[in-house]
Amino acid sequence: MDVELIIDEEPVTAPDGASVLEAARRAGRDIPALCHHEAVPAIASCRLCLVELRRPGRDWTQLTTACDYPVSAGLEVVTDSPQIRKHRAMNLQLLLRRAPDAPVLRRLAARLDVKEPLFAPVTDATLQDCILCELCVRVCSTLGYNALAAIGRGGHKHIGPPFGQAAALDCVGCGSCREACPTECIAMEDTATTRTIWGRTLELLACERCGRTITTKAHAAAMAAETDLPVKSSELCEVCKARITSERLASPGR
Amino acid sequence: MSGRLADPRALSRQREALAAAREARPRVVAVCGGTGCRAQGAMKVFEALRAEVGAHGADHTVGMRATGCHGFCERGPLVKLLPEGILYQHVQITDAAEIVERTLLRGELVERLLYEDPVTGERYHREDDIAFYRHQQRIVLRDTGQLDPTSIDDYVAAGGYSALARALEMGPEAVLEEVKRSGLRGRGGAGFPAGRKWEACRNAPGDLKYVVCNADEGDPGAFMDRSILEGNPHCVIEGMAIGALAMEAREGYVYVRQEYPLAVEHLTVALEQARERGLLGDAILGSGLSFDIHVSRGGGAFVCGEASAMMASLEGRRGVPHRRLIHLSEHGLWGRPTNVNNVESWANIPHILLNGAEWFRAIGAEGSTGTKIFSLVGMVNNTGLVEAPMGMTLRQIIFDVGEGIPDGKAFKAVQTGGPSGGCLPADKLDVPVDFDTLVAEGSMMGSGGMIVMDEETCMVDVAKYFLRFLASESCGNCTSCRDGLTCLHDLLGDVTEGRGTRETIALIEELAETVQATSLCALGTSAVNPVLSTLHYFREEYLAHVDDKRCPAGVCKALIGFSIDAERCNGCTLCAVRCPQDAVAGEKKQPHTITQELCIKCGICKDVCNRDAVLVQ
Repeated sequence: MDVELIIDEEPVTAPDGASVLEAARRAGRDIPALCHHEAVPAIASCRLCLVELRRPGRDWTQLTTACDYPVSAGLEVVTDSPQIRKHRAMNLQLLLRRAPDAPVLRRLAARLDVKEPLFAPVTDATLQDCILCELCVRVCSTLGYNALAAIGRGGHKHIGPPFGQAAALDCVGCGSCREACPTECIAMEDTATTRTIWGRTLELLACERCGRTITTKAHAAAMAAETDLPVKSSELCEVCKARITSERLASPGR
Repeated sequence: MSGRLADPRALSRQREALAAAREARPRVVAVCGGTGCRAQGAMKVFEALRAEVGAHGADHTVGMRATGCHGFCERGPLVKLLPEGILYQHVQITDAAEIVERTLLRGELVERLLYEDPVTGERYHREDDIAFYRHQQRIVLRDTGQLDPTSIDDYVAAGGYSALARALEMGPEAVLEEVKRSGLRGRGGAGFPAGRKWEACRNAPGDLKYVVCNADEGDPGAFMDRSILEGNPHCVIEGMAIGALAMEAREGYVYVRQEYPLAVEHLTVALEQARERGLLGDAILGSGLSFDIHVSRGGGAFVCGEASAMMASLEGRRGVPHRRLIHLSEHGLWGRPTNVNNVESWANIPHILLNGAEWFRAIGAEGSTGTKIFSLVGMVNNTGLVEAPMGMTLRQIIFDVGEGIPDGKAFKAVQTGGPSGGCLPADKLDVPVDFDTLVAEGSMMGSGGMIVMDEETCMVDVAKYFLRFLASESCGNCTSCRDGLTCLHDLLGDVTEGRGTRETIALIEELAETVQATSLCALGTSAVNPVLSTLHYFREEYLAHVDDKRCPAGVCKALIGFSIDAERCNGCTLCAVRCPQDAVAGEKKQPHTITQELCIKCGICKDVCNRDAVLVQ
């Protein structure tokens, strides 16, 4: 079921259950959001996706985040205003303390006309450039591994293996956290045979045909367990699978 | 007495028997066993008194009771002698023999243990005559200084659980109506009408509902809820059972912080006793009501007092607030309809049911009915727990109950509402203390913290102090709160340490606005109150710090210097002896001087000088 709402005075429809952020992006509005990913629950951490909302029958508007606010019929959304720009810029200034050189923040700073940094950079972070958006934690938890956690409060909040352990014992080395991280601050190192991430070193699974890395053996086993498929001792990478298929299709005997 | 009470008649028979037994032996030595008095050795005093009573063979005629908090903590350990109501303060083990021999046996007063009024110098022997108590109206706290909190008999004898019996007789709808008509507003901070919340929860679909008691009192210097749970846990249990009846809930939780061990202990004992009597569990007092309460201990995060964070913590998740689009009364604990009230709100319920909504409405102010408990602390003569009718002015609380500022100093400001409350100046002293007026003046009721500051308090320093607390207690979810509060604290540090400019103040204001406007929960949106209210009411003080690099109150170390007035100094050498830096020099009986390069501005010289010869500028 779709609902009708108004974005910047323009009537639009969005599926029931969608967030205002999703609806606005569908309608072509470019609202910045660093902690949002459609595959994981919203926590509204970065506070950049600010919009002004007015619910039908109310004569007051509310400045709030779009990522965790669901669409509803008749909702009026304003995606740009001096107020939104002012507070968004200030919150970006605060994020820049944590990741002054992260490309995603530099691009946003240029776009939002944020020039001089107002605050001195954070120097004692346990993970350089981490903006504490918890996308890594949420992705890991959504995938079912729960290998990462947010630890501590206030300025002491940080991301890492649960309970401050040195290594993420439940990490299978899939690297999804690194993919999701907006500031690319998660270190992952591959050698020919191993991958090191979150204090763990895991064996890699190589393509039996071309030798390219597919993933870790632990990740392959975890996926196999999830899908009830037999664990194979060897595996083909996606490229080789495609090649073999096209070779077979092209083979004269077919 | 023990055993299940079959029905309300059994309860009233038990009450009559217990009350008669107490009337037959009215002499009681009630020693305050609250955390404050315990820390000052009250339990040792209790044991010493008991031994003395026994040694005189009076243990059959004199009852011994370790009670809950009397509220007058700074005078502890406190001992009250009933039925006369004689109050002895600062009682030591060595006083026990004299109290028993002279007062208990011979009916004489021990003068030196009586309260001496700091203003008039007069000594009072009865609790009710002391200004601190005389100007209060104690309803919720009425029994905390009288009952043994670990004795359900004491509570029942004083009429306990008769409100529950009455509620069972009235039925859920009538109970709800009574609470609605009473106008009771939540005592935890937001002041939402309790009856409306109850009604929403009662009407919410679902056969499994919860009532929750928020005992996650985290404000520095506040101990209202702790004192109630420690001193009279049964009244909270009774209130929750009445709520469960009205909302048709079968389970309750008390979320209490781990740092309150005595509250947890007394509550646990009380729950066990209530179950034994059939006042909790299946078929309470023989009725159709089945309800029990679990204790859940929190880890001491300030943010877990926020209801959505508390739900997360109760469910075993990280205590982080989340957006509430549906009220907890419909979608709360484990997605079930849930009603959350704080300790003080629940403790008011039995009184409302027993005395009626009209009686309750007659107390307090329009729109804020009943009493409110405050923890009156800081630079005020009488510190402690104060229960006053809503609408009393700040002046009445600070100057009548609290008897003003010590050492003849001038009042400067009062912060109401806990760490994220605002600071109100002297010209707001006649503001009535109720939910709506305080908000209109830029502060809030909060859960009832009240910190009094005198003329030697620097308001920039105060704002910085509270920001440090709030920055470290932010859950860390929102950028604006987590990093905004840290930056605000650092900017205030720039001001107090002499690095600030007018631009610093402008940036503080700009940043505070963003924190207030864009944080998710009330911790973030209210955390800037100490900054904004002090900037509003004490702007000149901020400007003195940045324009003249001067701290008018003489607090901010980077901006002050100590010197010795040669006219006043008599060369007693006390300051020179006590200075940790050897920064004070001078011959005996000659005026001394301070070497500025060595001075670390600790202020010890000023504190020890008997002649007020050390100057701060």
